[in-house]
Amino acid sequence: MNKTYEVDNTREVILNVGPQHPATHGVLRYVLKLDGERIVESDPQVGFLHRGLEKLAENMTYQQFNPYTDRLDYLAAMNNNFAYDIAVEKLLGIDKDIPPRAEYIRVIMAELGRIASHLVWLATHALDIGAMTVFLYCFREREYILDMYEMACGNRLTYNYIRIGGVARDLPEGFMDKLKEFVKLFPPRLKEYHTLLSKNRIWLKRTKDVGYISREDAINYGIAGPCTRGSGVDWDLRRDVPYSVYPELDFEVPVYPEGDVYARYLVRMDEMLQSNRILEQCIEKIPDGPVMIDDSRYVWDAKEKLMTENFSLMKHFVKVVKGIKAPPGEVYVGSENPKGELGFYIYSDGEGKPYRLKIRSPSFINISAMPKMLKGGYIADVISVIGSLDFVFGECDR
Amino acid sequence: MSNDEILGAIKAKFANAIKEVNEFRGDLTVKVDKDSLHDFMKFLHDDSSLKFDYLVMMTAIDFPEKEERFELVYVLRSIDNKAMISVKTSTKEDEPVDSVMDIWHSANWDERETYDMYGIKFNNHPDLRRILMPEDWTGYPLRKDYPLKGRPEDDTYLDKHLPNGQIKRPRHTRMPLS
Amino acid sequence: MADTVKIKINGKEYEASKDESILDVARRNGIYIPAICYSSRFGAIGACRVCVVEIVGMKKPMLSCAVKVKDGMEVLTDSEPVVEARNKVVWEWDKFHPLQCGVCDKSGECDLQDVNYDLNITNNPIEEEADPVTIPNRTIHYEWPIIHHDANLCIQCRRCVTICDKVVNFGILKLVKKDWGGKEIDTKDGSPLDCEFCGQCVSICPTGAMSSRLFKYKARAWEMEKVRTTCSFCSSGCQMDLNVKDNKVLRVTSEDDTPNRANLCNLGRFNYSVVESKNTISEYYVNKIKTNRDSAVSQAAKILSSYKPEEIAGIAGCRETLEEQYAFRVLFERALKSSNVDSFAATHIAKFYSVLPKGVSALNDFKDIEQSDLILSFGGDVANEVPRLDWQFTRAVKFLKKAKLITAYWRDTKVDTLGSIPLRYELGDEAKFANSLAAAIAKALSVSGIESNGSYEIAEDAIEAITSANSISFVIGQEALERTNGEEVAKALANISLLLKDKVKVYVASKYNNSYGSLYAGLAKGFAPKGMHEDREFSLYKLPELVKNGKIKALVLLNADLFTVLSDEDAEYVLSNTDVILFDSYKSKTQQFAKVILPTPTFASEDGHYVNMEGKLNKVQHAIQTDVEPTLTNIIELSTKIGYSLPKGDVNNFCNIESISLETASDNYLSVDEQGFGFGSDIKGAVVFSKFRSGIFSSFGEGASIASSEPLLEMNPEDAQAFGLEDGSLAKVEGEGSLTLKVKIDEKMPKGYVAVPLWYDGYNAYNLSGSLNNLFSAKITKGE
Repeated sequence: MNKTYEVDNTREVILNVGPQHPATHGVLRYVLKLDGERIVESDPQVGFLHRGLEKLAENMTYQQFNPYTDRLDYLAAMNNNFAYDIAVEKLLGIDKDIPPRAEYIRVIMAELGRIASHLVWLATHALDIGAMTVFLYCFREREYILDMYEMACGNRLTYNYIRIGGVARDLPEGFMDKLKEFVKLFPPRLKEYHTLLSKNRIWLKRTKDVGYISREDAINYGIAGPCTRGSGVDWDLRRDVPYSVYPELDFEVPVYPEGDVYARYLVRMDEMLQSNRILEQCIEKIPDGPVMIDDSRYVWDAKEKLMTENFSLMKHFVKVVKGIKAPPGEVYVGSENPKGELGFYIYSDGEGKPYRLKIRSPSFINISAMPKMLKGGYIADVISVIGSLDFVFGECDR
Repeated sequence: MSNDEILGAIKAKFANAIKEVNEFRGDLTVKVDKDSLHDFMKFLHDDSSLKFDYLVMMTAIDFPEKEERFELVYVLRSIDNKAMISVKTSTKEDEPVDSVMDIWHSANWDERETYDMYGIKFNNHPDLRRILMPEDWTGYPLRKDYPLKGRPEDDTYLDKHLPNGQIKRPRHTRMPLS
Repeated sequence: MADTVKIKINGKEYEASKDESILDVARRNGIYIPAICYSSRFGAIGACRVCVVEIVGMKKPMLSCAVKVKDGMEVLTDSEPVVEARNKVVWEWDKFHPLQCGVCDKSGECDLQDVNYDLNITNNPIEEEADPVTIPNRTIHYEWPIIHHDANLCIQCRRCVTICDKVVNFGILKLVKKDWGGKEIDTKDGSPLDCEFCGQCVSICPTGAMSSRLFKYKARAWEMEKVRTTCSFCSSGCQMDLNVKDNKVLRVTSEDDTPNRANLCNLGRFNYSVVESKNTISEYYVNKIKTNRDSAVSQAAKILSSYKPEEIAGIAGCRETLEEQYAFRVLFERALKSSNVDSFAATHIAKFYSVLPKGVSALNDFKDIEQSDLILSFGGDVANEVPRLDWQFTRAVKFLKKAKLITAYWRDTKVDTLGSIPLRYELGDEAKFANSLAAAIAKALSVSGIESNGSYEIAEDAIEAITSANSISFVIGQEALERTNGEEVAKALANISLLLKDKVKVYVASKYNNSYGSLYAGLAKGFAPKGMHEDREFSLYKLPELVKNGKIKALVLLNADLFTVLSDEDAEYVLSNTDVILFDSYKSKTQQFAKVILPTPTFASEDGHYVNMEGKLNKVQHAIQTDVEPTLTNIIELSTKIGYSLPKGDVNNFCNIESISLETASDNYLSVDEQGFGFGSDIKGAVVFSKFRSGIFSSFGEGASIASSEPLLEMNPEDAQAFGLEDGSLAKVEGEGSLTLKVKIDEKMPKGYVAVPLWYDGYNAYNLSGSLNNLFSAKITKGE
């Protein structure tokens, strides 16, 4: 990272921010070349949280890697499980056979995850810009969601609940009631946030016409998710490359063409509302039935079966030690995560472990577009641009 | 746009460059000659009917036993056509590949990462340096011959960079000391 | 190529060569066909019937391992009839094989489990037929040592029978008819297993039927970490994986892709318990009092500094890594400024390699033996010295049926059962015989320059075979070179290899794992670093005399247990009249005499390289953590304290090579003194190598000590009768000293000879023959 920077000594200044800085949302370091308050050039540097997940994945069975995906975007761990599992299921060719109840549970979890993630984004984004109250409100609502997650799988941060072939276990008693309570309660709360920020003059000054990126650039820079939709790209993987039961659900994709921080803010705010709509429909539509595919080649058999049936135990040993045998081939599956398109590219050579597993992380790509958004802006804009990109370093550095 | 239509369009123009066409689980993968990669990509991006304007990701796969050791994978998407295609090419260990950053800017960091992890060099990349690993790291971690738990020399590196007083421990050992 | 054909598998076209089976082609191209009895170690048996495939145009599914490819053949590997046929086979196994995988050691690496998983079998429709009550109980062989066989788990694929016969060439296992009406794997004569205990049957068994008694119930397959390292029990350098859990070696396995094809002998596979702490030295001692590292090393430096350089000598035991050997050499050369170094390699291979003629290929790949037309084995029982050679012979002669075998030795050995042209000589006549052989070959090739009085007639067919062969593997046994006239034997053998230099590949056996390294590091007499020749006065042979004359007063021993090469009397004399600095990993008698003891890690906790018979550097990796400081660090520290700081980088640079090369001598024929060993009038005795020992420390391991618990005196039945001895009775042998041993009657022993093995705990065969000698005349009486 020892790049040398050409500086015009009379006017330009190099400023180093991070990697330990409260406004960098993790361990981001960036080097800014400044002309007074104006940013001439910026160079974000990442990798401080690099753990070699892709290397680890090459040395693990498919099932073993599932909990590691929790550690990508740890603010929306369910969505990561989901994204990974649909990729593996497509590789195994069982993506069409997942029981519908499992699919609905997955969608519920994913949409709750989206709301929870956006709430953290809103909280920290607003806090960075100076709106303290929003932070407290957002975390209050997020607590509801974490409680629900805890009911379902016992954990509040890393879940490993969505599994290859379905979900780990059925929803517990009382979960649906809590969910119903939440979907009723959430839209008015969302309105509260709007009243706090959307017409707030300071907020508008700090976000309007800041961090602009055009539609063409957004596509060319590969920006994903809410950030592209804030630049007028009408693209949502849930609708355009449908997976799971999203085609059965009715929702809108919010798009704002302005391409600035404020547009991205509005997109996310609207998305939360849409997620709430999806949740409402899921409550109506969720069927009864099994929550795990019945295919002992690829999924663990139930405990009682393991303990009583010889063949079950016998094959369990193979699955645990050598891993499930995926057919040779390669798949790329992307899924619409709160941060953008989280994709898994898996190359299988027919063994029990992936030969190559690449994680296409939205945060990584979004940060790479930061210099474009910052160029010509003020130094204070950096904070609001960072907030609007909404990245998480577990995912960016992998 | 169906896979057959895409294939028809590219075969009309690049019949000679295409080395392999595969379809797996409905996804189209085309393997092209390394030398025509850039032209091919340019065509995919610029052609008014194909319009693959979005580079989803690019990466490499290491096959140490093959002569052309690295296989590069580009996953492209057309926003307007809602179509996806994987383009592959392979290269030898010390042969650089043409960068596609002038076509899709998002290739910038992807190519840097591929260089960082595999040591594949890209022609015409303006800023090819390590991205995830430290600048003065040696070796390329995602190569298959790089041991999972690091090399002994990585310990030396880490020891050099550890804060004073931190206990030195053989990190490349396989078992935790009990 | 004319031999290539094109076949279609599952609709895709593949190229194949004519003599390949369908299974080979499929495996090469990554198409999965399950197979149980097939192994890359010996090919197909055709017993399991699970590898069936459908060939378009044929009614019945065919065995893919047995059918050779034909041009235009169309194969389907998972069509419906194929899956049905496979399922039927597996159901049949599942019917009687108990599926309580939870209690079986094999689960997790079991081929039967894999096949069940691959075929996705969830129930067994023919299970009903077999009422568990009426299924006869099969034998569980509790009485077999080391290897446990439970016939209930056996699916009768005959892998063990095949490997025992075609790879190990022992052939003790067989499918035998039993009282309950069916067949079981058992020994041919039904007696408890008494074999080489190499455990190849354990390594190849697809189920848990054959298992290791030493490993039973210790750990699950997936709990252990496999660490690839090099075996330290002989110079073949077999690659093996130490299976480690909780910092303990629990078993040893090897993979099919290793150069040794997953084959390991008894010592390699079962003798891992030598590294357990009860057998090893892990503390520092000065004058038998425990101390810390610093004071031990300082004390050693102080002792060495108090003597003149020429009064200090160093001996390496060839068990250490190449790095340590080189550091040891540098310690003497630069710190102590003494040229008195030698290694145990001086007793055998150094003799041959210092007269190795120019142009002879002397360090060769084991696999080349398979390519040769003729194997000429001279002067040793290779099956006991280096088992890997034995298996390589077996592969070349019995399995590939490519090579002929000539054995020149004083008795019949195991390799002769392959079918050989036996050339036999009188014990002690190695030089005379080798020279006669050289002269006979020279005569047949019309080359002049070799003189012999021709006392041995060499069989015509042997000479014919040697002269007509296009490529010859010339294998030299350690035993012949260890004779007191080993130099003369070496010269005669050098002449033979020079005569055949265009087509000969020489292999010299050694029981020491890094004896070749000691040549390259310049420790063995006659050698300087990088395998160059160098004349030095000092040698291991002169050691007792030099100590007696007061010329050597201090001794540095690097893993060298003098009791493994000298008689008790000599060793005790040498050790008690010198100040001894001992580097050693294992407990030994030498330890009692050492002034300073510096512990060294065992091979399981060491990093470095061993050089094997092929001249290749094989990596040694630590598998278990130990508090013992690496030997290299201690040598460097000792050197620093004496006054020369030895750079570690130099040592690593020196070893940064893939294979070694050794300097050759001139390409002149050498004259040989044919004088043999002067036996007395009594019965002639030889000290021979045991398959189950490699240095006294190998007795400490379970594998070796169970397989062979005590030394046996081998003799001919007629001799035994004359002495009034029976199998198992005690005999008193009197040579230079005397020993009392159990008798083993062996038909293969010629009349008038006895043989005693080397290296058992609490016993020293050199007491009979005298130091550094392996022949003796003995008086034999009944012992008590």
